[in-house]
Amino acid sequence: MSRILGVVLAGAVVALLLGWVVVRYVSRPSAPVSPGAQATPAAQEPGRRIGASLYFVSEDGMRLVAVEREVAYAPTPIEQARIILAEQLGPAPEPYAQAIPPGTTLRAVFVTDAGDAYVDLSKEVTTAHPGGSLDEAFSVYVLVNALTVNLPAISRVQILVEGREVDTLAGHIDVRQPLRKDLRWLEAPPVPAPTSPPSPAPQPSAAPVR
Amino acid sequence: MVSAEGRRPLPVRVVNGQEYVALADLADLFALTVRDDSRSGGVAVSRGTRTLVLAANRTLVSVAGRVVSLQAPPLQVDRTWLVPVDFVGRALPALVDARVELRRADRLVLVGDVRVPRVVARSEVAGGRVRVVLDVVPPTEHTFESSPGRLLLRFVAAGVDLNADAVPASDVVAGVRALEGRAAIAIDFGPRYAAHRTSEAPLPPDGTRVSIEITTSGDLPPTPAAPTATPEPKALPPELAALFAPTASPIRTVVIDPGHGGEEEGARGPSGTLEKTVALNVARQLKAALESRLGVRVVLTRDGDETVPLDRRAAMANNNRADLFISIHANASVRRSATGAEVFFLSLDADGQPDHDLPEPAADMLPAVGGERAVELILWEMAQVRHLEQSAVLARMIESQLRARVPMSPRAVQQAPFRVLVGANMPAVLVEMGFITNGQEETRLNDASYQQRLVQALVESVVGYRAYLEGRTTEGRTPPGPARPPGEGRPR
Repeated sequence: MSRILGVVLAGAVVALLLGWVVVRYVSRPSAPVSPGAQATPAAQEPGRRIGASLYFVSEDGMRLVAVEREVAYAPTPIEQARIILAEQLGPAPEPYAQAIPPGTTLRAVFVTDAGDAYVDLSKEVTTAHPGGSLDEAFSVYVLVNALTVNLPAISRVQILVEGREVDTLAGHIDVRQPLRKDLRWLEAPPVPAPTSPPSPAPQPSAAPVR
Repeated sequence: MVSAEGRRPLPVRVVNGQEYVALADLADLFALTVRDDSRSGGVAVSRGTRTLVLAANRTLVSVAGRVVSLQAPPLQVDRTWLVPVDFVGRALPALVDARVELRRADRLVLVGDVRVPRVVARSEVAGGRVRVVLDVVPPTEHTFESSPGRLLLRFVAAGVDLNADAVPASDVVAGVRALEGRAAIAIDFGPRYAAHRTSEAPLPPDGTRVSIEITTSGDLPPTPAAPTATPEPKALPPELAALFAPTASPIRTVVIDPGHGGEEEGARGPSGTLEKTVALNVARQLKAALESRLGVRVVLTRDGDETVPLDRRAAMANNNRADLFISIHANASVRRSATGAEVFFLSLDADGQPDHDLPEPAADMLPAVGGERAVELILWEMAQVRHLEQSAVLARMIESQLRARVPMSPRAVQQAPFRVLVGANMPAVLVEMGFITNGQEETRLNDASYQQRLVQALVESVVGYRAYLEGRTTEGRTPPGPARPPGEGRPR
């Protein structure tokens, strides 16, 4: 009896170790997942879907709106990120507009242990960008928010273009570093109040007293 | 390679037109451990607890939690691993936890806290005088030492990179040379030297120009110069001194930044109007109006259809010690219906930091293309944070003045991580004059009277902001708003 128990225990330990090795290997930060190479179909549970928030430009063009959508479930943050980004780059549902320039494709996604995601896009994200500060901010923050809102493992996002770090997509928004979630772009524009300068001084939106 | 321990050579190999260094050489110099990584088929490089993995055919390297892209993939030639030269400036700093700066053009790698200014020398002859001009980048503390027949310029640095090709030997200046093993440049005078005096001026975007004016004497016998000829800072003539004397006005210099330019057209209207053209038109009018109405000095970051890097725009404002920085743009939207002017200033994230985190000191060199550029960027990136409160005040004033004259967007004042604003060391805003993608607004932006209204609004804003600063100075009033001690940047 005790021998059988011993064999079972040893088997369990081996299985645990194997599992640990597999998990470690799969989540290695330096391992890129290219969109073409759909990794480990066995690891994906067929049919399982999760809800995700995607972001598009509102009807009046003045803010982003969140659209809930069911997407395929993936067991690792990298694969889940890739699935969410593929959805985010797809056509915008009526009546909203796509904030990412047409023709932009996802080249690869990387996620580091520190929670930084690197989203490598094709050159169209800059070459086909119509410019303008507002739309450039929208292009950047639909990607940043789509990953940081839906994936707890990702806290910051940096956009790469054709595998390289870039300064900006169209000359305005600084994308040299990973950016954090910013949901202010979803807020409805405030009703303008008459201001009498210099007071009251405006509040930079997030400058805590420390 | 220059470090606190001195200079050592680092061999470079050229393969397929790319410059490579052997990983083994770097391992010797930086005490790295190199071993094969069977899992990736590449090589693992570590120092202490930090490791990075290089694989053939892959230009992206993960190091200390960041992904760095290299100009070319690593190569394995005859069992020797070669890494592209930019590996030294981009990946190595994070691994060795020290400043490593790659100066490609000068073929130098600077390690640790060493400073090696670059100096380009030239000589000019004007009105019987000879002037030796030394352009020093970056500005580096230095002293002059005069001795008979020689002027010595000593830098507080580990060395100096001198290019004196443009100083031909003459009977006034025999030569300009760097002293071996010392951070000093010797200017040797010739027999016709009589006396000299030195002067200095900032050299935009990030240097100092040292001029040595030498009077000559054809009559005097070639005797050594009088030892009394110690250099003194050149005094400005009284009329110029008056111009530069501090005045009561808190706003003396304004830098106006017409957005985009040259190859970067910016947004385009349905009838083909380009953002870069409208921005320059308005910026030029604004310069003229500010100069005549306020008597301030106005500098344009571009005065033509030129491509100006975003770094240089903020650098111009910083080097000109501007009191205000105003970037002029036209907006674009995928929605043709979007209209109205907007004013932006830099955003902070929830922790009160710039939206993106600044790299840790060890990673200072990672995000930039060239080594030495990053060092300045990091310092400047902290610059705008100190001025955010004032930038917000200015943005509100501009919004209010614009609102009185032109249609505003529903999001009239906003914050975003603007590349051009982040490095500005003064209150700085970005004005989007209207949506050029809207046909009606495109027509308005081309209209002279509409442009005048925009210019007027901005001039009134600067007048108002100046009055606000003056009131604050005389009454000792501080603006209400978030308590952020002045000068508090990012705690490091």
